[in-house]
Amino acid sequence: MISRDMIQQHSEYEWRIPAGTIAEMRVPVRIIGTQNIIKHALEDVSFNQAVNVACLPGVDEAVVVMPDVHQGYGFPIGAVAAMRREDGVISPGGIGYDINCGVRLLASQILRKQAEEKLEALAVALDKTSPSGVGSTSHLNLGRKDFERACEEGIRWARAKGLATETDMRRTEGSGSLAGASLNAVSKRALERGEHQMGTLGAGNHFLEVDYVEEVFSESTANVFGLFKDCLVVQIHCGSRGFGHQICTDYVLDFQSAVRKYNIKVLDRELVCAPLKTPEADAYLAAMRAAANFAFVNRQLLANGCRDAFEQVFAGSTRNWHLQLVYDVAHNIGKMEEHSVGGREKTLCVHRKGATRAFGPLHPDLPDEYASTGQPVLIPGSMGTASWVLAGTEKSMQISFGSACHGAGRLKSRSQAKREVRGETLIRDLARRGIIVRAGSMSGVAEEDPAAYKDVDEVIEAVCGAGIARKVARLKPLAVIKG
Amino acid sequence: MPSIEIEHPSDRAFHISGKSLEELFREAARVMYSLMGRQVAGTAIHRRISLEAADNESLLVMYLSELLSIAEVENLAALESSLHFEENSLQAELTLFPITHKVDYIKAVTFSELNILNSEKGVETNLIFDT
Repeated sequence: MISRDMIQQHSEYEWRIPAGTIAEMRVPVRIIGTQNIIKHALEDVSFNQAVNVACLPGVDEAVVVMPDVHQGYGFPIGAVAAMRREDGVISPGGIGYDINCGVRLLASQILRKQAEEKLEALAVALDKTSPSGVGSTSHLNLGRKDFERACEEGIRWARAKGLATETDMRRTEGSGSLAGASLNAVSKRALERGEHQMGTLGAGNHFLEVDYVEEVFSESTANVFGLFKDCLVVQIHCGSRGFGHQICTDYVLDFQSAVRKYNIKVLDRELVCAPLKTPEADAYLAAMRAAANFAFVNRQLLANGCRDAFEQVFAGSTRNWHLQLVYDVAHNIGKMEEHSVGGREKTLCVHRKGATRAFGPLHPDLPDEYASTGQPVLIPGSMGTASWVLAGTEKSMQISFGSACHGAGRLKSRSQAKREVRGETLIRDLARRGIIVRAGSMSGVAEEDPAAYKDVDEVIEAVCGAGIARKVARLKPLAVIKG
Repeated sequence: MPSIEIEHPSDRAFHISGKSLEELFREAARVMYSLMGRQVAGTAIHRRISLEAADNESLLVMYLSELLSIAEVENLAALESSLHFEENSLQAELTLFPITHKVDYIKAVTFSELNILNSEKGVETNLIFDT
């Protein structure tokens, strides 16, 4: 077990578990956090899991742990590991079951005070246009052919169908279309699970939230992102639904034999992996990219539903009611990226498991309008608490493979949260604070009790203190639609 | 007690035991359905599935994942099952009923902490569901 005395402090917000702490470690673990965050993380096996990742073949420079870290399976949630193309591996568990779970932020110029009397109607309209909950299926009847094209082409398919604008495409990570996706690598079961779920929010911790911009920290960057104080914005948090879950399940099972074939020792069976440039790795990457494209389209279709709801409620009575996409970013994904490590340019397979890409200014993968600001980094808080919009920095390129945290991070188990609070009580408490919650499952609401999460402001303090992102705006919730 | 919930910070974890491998698999399926909060009604459908894997842990993940997919795609739950194990394979005769109600969602069955061991009482393991 990793204990406090094995962790060295390098600066106020940067800590390290040195390589050699256990014999099999190939690189150190770099932790972004505060004393308090380190203390909480030591209460579960997060750091042990990060150390296990640091033992994988071809892992480069350091495994980076974010301040929202908590125990996962295989990888901890809130971790980044970059594998060298030449001798590294791809691990499906290092990306997770909800492939390309991510966040999309849409901004309006509707002032909160203009919307106050219409919030209830807006929540009802959003609930109707965004299928959510266990077993939810899409309003769209896509048909198998369109579904397959959407998975292989991502937002490019949506654009061709008139379901996305050029701006929507440009402001989505990787233009919402990962090359190399192939359904030949996807099982029949995954296709069956995904076919009727494109355009659905799902259940669990996924949500759609109407917020207002409570505080702006960088007016110039906020202006570029289209964020204005007191104006309404919408966050959409969801992923690739049953399609991605099944793809990960299939490949975690397949790779149990790949580790034997390639003689790879893993310290946790969820870390099973295959060397990059092998048929096994190629197949997984093709399938994972199809799931990532599914998720980008999924959030696009949900965004269209939000636009319809805003039109129903605000058109004709409120000026500038349109929703513009700020950005769409993944936080469970594996990407081949170019990074400069120790002065050398390297092609790395970056695994982000509960970590958000946070590319700094002038990165060639950013749309032109964000070249000077760095990438918008979207960090949802727990239900009823603040969320943050940050911007990527040059420092994130240097110490975290262009990544930052992805949320607040859990403190308590779901079962403990359900023992301590009832969903109905929580909804009443939030209503007293002016937050409307519409949810399909009361037990699901209880699981998302804000008390079950870390303080998102402390997480952001650590991220920005370490310099891997900078503050742009703080959002406060007004209405939440939960699966 | 055939199963006990273990605290897990993000997902749902259980210690599951049975007098035999068959009982362990049945209990794991019962726990999974119970987590979903599923209710069933209507006419039974019978189905046979065959699974092959390198070890019992893989077989358990495969079996539960198959039940999970059937629940999600076909809206059916296996209330009864007859399981027959041979070396590295499982033949299951399932009696499936239409699901009328589900409360919670399970994304996947994980290998995390999964290690089926012989014990005085039979066999046991930890099992973690991604929820």
